[in-house]
Amino acid sequence: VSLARACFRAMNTDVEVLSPVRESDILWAKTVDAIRGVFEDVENRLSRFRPDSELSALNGFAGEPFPASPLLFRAVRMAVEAARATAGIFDPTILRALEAAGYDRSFELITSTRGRSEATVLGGYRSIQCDDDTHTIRLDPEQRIDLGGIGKGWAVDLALEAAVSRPDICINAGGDIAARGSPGIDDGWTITLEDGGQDEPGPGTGRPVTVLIRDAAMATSTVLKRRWSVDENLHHLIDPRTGRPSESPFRSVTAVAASCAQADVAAKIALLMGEDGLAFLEERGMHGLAVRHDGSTVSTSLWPGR
Amino acid sequence: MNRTDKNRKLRKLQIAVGAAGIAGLGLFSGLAAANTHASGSQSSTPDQQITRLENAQGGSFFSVGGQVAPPSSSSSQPQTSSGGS
Repeated sequence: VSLARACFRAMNTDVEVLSPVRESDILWAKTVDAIRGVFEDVENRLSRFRPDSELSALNGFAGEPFPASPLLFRAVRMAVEAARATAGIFDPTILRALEAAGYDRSFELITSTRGRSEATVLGGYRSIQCDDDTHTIRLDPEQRIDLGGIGKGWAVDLALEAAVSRPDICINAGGDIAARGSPGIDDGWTITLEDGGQDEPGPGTGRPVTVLIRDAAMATSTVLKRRWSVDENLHHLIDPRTGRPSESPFRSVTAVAASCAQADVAAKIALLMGEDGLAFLEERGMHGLAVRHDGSTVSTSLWPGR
Repeated sequence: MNRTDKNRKLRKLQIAVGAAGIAGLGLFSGLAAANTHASGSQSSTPDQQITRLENAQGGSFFSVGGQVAPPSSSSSQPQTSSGGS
């Protein structure tokens, strides 16, 4: 048995699929194809950067009841539930503020180094109407939504479901990870935490550089990536309370949760909440490590090395 | 886009979504087949896969966060990294 690794590009990020396989395992390639298919489907339907995506169509019909596919309907409903669970600190309706800050096209195409503030209304998500009977979604007129804060994590969860026949598998989409079983070496998957800082958490801080997870998901949210101006502190993590990129005391937060969608949202929320963020995770039974801008770290109580 | 155009486009969309639904929800169509093949057993439909995830999540978005074990220390060679996004 050896550890097979397949890599492909999807949702503007590198996706890595890992699983212990035997030489005779002829189904590995099919599993990878199935996982790739999930990412392609999610990207094709939920990307705000594709004018022909279903999400773009929904945004184009704000103010009208929109008949949604099961995938879009459930993604929007989940985003609304996440917004409700975070009192609106996660909010899929912050798209205008995100675009105003400069993130108005796929990240690699951004040329602007200036941003402007866009007044946002905390709780914008409350006006999204999802009708379970008709599978229609109605946005407020002028309202547009972005599922970028949850879509990738959800795609990882769906991909893991698609590979349900594999008891040991790890899927990593740009740091959004879902891990089942183990690679056969340890009792779980060993993962390095990297947030792009010069002084990675670990050495000198008493924190482990690597952690092991099993049957869990992990996501890291950082202001050091998807950043288009250092001078103006322009990055992709918009605080709905201000309508501006977050001024969090943390440069990154890693969260561990039951699902990758949860971890994805939890990492962002904890970062946006700042010093209160880890308590938010702890109260909901999740685990997290936050790295301050100086490289020092703070974690939830059960994080290893604490 | 005026209202007539908008309504026309919306009708087209409704037809497209309806057709997708008839064709097995039009969602992960190749996936279920691949999954059946991979597992050698009866596969769930893509819609069931999403439902299973939603049920696992259990109502409120973070309701089962506490079911997850904390990470543990490891001195092994890492298999991958959480690089952040």
